[in-house]
Amino acid sequence: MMVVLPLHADSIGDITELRGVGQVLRDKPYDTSLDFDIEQNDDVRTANGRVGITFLDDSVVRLTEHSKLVIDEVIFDPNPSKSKMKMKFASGTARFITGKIGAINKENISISTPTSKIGIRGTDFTVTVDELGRSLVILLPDEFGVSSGEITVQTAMGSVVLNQPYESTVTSVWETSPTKPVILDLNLNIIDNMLIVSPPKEDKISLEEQTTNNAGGILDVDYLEFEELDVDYLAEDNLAFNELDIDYLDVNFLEDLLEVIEEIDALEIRERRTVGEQLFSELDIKGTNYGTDTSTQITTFGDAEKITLIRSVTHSVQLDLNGETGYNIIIEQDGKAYNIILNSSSNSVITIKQSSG
Amino acid sequence: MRALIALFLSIGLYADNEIYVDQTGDNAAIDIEQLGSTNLIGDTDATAGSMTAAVLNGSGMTLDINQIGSSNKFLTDGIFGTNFTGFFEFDGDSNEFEFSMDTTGLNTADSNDINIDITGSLNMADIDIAEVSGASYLDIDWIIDGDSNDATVDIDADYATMTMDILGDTNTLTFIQSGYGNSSSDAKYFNLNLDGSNNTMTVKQQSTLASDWLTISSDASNSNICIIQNDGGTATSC
Repeated sequence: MMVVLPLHADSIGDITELRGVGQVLRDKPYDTSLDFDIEQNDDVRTANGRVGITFLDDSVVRLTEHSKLVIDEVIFDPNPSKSKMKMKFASGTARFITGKIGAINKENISISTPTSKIGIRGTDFTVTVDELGRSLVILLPDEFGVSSGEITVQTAMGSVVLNQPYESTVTSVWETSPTKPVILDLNLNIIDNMLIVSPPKEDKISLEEQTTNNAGGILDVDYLEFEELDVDYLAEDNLAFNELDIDYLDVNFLEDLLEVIEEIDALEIRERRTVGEQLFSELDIKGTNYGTDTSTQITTFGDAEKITLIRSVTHSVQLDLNGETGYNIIIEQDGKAYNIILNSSSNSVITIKQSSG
Repeated sequence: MRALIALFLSIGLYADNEIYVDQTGDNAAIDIEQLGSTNLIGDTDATAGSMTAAVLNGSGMTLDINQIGSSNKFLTDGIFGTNFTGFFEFDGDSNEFEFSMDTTGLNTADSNDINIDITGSLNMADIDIAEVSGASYLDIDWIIDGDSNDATVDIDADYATMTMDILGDTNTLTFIQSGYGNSSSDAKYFNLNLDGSNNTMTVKQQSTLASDWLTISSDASNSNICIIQNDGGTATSC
């Protein structure tokens, strides 16, 4: 078999773990192989395979099946301010284990998904991106079981900080805030099993020890009385249903978590809405309804202390207003005007004109 | 330890509390603190009592200006360069602050971090940064604490964030933000926190292709706020 090697530019890492089939898109597609050099602007994709990449600073990225990672820019420089790490993770599930990342100024590290930007300070975490671009980010613990650092997950509407083991958030679209962080009931073995690229050597040793122990027990048997010696134990697959053979890799666990977290959020939203509607009904506000008003395209919520109005069309305006003060809010767009009056007063006047022309 | 590197820096002390500065060269760190009233900082071409704008050029510049007293004036024009960091503190009344950066659009004004803290009344601040989307990754944090202040801001950037706290009465703000976005990730964010009464605010965001985001948190009363988000600039007033 002839292996086609790519033209070499500066290598920023190489493929150190491999199972199944993957491709690196560069000047043309290259099939992945162990020790394959990774370069700037490489587009690494897996099909029914898994790929582990080790970068020059010992950072590791492990990609599961059907993943896509674009390496925009990775520069390692003795000067941390000149080092950079910029990648786009477009789909699938990946685990990022940062290396000498302290050697890179945090503002120079950028891992983005279709719906979020992730800021890193020396951490170990997973990212799952589904076909809609929804992103699940889970911070993993270090070897001592404590937080491996801190990551910030940002969208256009805000950011959340993950700093507890298994703390996670979901971003659905860039224009909405990340979900409130929740701590998942996971452990590192589950994560590891999901994201193993090459089966660990420890598992083989364990199998060998188990086989040896079984052989020791067999010595106590009177083989002369039985014909057990004729049995070829090596040919027999006695371990076919050992726990070690449970294929966690077939479990679409992280993708399922996306739905679980969104269900939790939906429950919280329903509860909050009930409470919110009650509080809102006690306010003196005219011209828009609680929640998203389809006629005004204004989302309104709040209580006697603060009332929030959001209108997001081509551009976005958010007003956080004192709930006890009077406001006359006039919104104009494309010849239509809406008037919202808060606390029966025109004490303050806010006029909003939104148009794209 | 902060290094003071100036390829060409001349500071002359003339009349009471008047400092004239011209700076050209990269990575300069300029730190000036004036105490007292009628403090002036401007250009070396100025004559005593008649201030012209200082010319400050060079990338990687750190400029730290503290004017403590009343009737202070800091004027600068023609700053260009990337990675500029500015700290401007004015503590007193009737201060005048004019800051212009790459207003021709012929140079660069990228990755700049500007921090302004004005405490007092009857202050005037005028900031004009870039033309034709000349400023990328601009970050401005601004606090005005006092009454009857007048601030004008004109920013032309493809990615910018500005946070402004106005705490006081009868303040006036005119904010114009424009720029051409190259992608949907280019955006301008303006966060305005308003507390006081009888304030007049005009906010215009006119970014073509980029997204404009405005958040106003208001405890203000008897105020008039005009917000125009209009790519084409066809809407000019409320």
